[in-house]
Amino acid sequence: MSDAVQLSNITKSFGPVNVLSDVSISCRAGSVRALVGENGAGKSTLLKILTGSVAPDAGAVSVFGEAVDLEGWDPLESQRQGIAIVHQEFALLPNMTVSDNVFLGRERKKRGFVDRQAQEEETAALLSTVGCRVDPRARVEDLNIANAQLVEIAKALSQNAKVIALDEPSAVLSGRELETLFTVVEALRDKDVAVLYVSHRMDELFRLCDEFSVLKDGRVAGAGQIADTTNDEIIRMMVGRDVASAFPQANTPSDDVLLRLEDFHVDGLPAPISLTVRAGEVVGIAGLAGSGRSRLLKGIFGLIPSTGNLHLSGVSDKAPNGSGEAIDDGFAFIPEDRKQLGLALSQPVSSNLTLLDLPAIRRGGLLSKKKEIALATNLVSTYGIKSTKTGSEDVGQLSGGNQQKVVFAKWLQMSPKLVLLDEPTRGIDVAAKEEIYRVIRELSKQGVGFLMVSSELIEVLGLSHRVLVMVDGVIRGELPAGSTEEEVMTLVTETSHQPVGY
Amino acid sequence: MLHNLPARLTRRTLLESGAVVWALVIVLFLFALAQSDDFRTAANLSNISRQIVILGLVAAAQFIVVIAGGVDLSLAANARLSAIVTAIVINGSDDRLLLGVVAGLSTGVIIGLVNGFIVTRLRVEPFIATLGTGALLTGLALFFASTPVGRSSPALNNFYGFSIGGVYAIVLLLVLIWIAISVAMNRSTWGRHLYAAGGDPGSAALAGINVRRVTASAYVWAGLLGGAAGVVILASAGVGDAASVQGLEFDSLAVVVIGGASLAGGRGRLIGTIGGVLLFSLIGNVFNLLKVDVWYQQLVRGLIILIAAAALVDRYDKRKQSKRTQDQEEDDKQQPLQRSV
Repeated sequence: MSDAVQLSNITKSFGPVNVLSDVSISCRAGSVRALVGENGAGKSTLLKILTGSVAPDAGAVSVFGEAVDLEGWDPLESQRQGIAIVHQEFALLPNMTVSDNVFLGRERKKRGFVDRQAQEEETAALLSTVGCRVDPRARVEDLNIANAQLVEIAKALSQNAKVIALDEPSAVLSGRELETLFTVVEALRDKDVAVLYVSHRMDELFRLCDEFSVLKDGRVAGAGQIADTTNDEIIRMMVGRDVASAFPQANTPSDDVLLRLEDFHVDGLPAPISLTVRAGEVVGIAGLAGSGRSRLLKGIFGLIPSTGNLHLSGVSDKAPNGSGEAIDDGFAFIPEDRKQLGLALSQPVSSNLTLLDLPAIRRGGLLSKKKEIALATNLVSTYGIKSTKTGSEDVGQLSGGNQQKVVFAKWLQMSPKLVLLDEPTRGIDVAAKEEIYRVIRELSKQGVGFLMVSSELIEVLGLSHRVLVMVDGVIRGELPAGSTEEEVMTLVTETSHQPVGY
Repeated sequence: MLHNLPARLTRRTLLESGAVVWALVIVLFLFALAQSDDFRTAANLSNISRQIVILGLVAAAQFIVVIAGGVDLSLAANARLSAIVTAIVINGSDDRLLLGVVAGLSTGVIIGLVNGFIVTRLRVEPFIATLGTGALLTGLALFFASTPVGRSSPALNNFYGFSIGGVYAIVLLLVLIWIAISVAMNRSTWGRHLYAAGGDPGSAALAGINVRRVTASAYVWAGLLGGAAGVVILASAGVGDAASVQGLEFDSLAVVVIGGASLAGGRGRLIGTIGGVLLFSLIGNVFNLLKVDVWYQQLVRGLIILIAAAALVDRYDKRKQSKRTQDQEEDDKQQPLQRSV
């Protein structure tokens, strides 16, 4: 079968930075091609060229064998040629309804006016095919991330596209939603759609994809049939080295209890929670999205009101009142969504790094640029952040993995006693993940405690000394280190089907 | 308009739809009926309705620009200059009435084009751009009419005074314009694209919308409405005067805000702005009839703006939280039925 879409010898630079050099990739109708690569490898830029929102410096794009005119190649033209994309950064308008978003730019009309009713009905049908149960009239800002992602996919489906690019569609989905996503992608393939699938989750690629292309530093590092390759081989192509084991050797936590929650009741959770974290211990919290894990972390950090006892060794007996107090007490909080809560994207790396510790860069009451640069330079090298040496560029320019390193550096600079991690490696590449695991392990050896929420079970199991399983706002069980994914999932699914008493 | 009802009624959607402002309007209206014998006279009521027209046009213009994510501080100056141009062209002759009206409206459109160009092509912040053009237009108005110039014509005066059973034709025209704008904003693709471009230009562009063009069009339509307000100013004042309708810049923006539209763009309904127009006009009228000092009026208007702004603030925090971080708990609350299956 012929190629539905072909990008040939694409080269693109942003200023002095070479993002893509001589990249060629194609996708056949009725097949799924995996596009993998570390963050910053150029995947997103490649997709933007495919969909016309970025123009390449050199190269050619052809759709069903016909070369397109790159002069007039914009998002609208690419849509007309049957190319749709599900963006990783949500391209939905929060102020508009789900159905308005799905049909934005392609409104259904009746007698010259937008036919809302038709749009809403069609949207409802599309949503049900992607297993998303939201009202088409709901506003996008009222949806959670997973549902917003499913709406994005529904939007792409509504275009009846012949080529669909999915940019990390699974990053914010879990469990049932993920299964639905796979079914949707398989259905697209069966309908002879060409699918370009970007993901960091290896298991998905082997389950879903037919072919693969690996990008590394803006070049194609390898391509072929998924059936002919292995997990390790792909990772080797991505990082250019062997990855023996992603998770560093575990340390032994001390017996001293660092954090103790007793009858700790966070607003919005159905029942009080009790748990302990010892010094040097990593406690993982597993559970489905929506089980209240993030809420618990926010309660501990004082962002959501709570009652009951919170005992942080040597410091306090109650939950901090707001983040200022939490930081003073020795808590650090790495939030789930770094772009919204963790970073000031339009500010330089250096100001982001030093934001929490302004006293350290003060001189005579005013902030010293010199001290800021010195501290930032130090942190940039300590945490291996890929930016200018002094952190002078804006954080928004960095890749996801490097942004997350900035978040870590900024918080760890405060020498916290207990670090609350909410999805610490969401949407970042393998190499950056490993570096973050290494940092976590390093600090736990020094006696720092971690309470970690992650939807990636492998990560929870690989890093944690103990795993707590949270279901519907209640901790339903505890598993020791070395437990298997099956054991965790059993606990999750067993309990969730029982009637919950609230 | 049933299709405008949001899927879920929250405090935010209530404020945004202008329901709160309308409740205040009704309360104030009933209060005035009970308290003032002068208020309920037919003459007074139809008089208020006609006083609303100028603010009603300029506020609708402001509303369009605000939805597009901008702001137009030049609207009042636009209206004043358009009034002067119309006055000069007509200069008391019915023969030149049509020409004068066209000249006035064209003045507004040209100003809108210039604003749109500066904002979308030169990429100057709308606040600064229109502050600049506004000052420029004020200068031009003073140049043409440092003392009143030109005159309205008998036909224009007659039209302004024409009423059927106490309902002024010009008020009916205003209502028709409001309905047209409301339908265009809610039910045309242009309106959808305007809300999209104002809500998030980046996402709108990815959906294939020509953001610059749709944004510029907002300034042009606003300019046209500003010109129309100018014609009405001339009809009511009789001469072209650079010192007419003071305070319009302030009021037009204020009523849009208390009507629930967001200055960040993409949120709000015209019906809310209309509620704001009625509220401000009623306050003026009622306070005058009750012989309350003028400064009380300003005080109350100021308070209303601040309260409205404060009430609207937290929805943005909420938006960030619910979309990005609140995990699924929020969602579960929305859909208890499906969840329990």
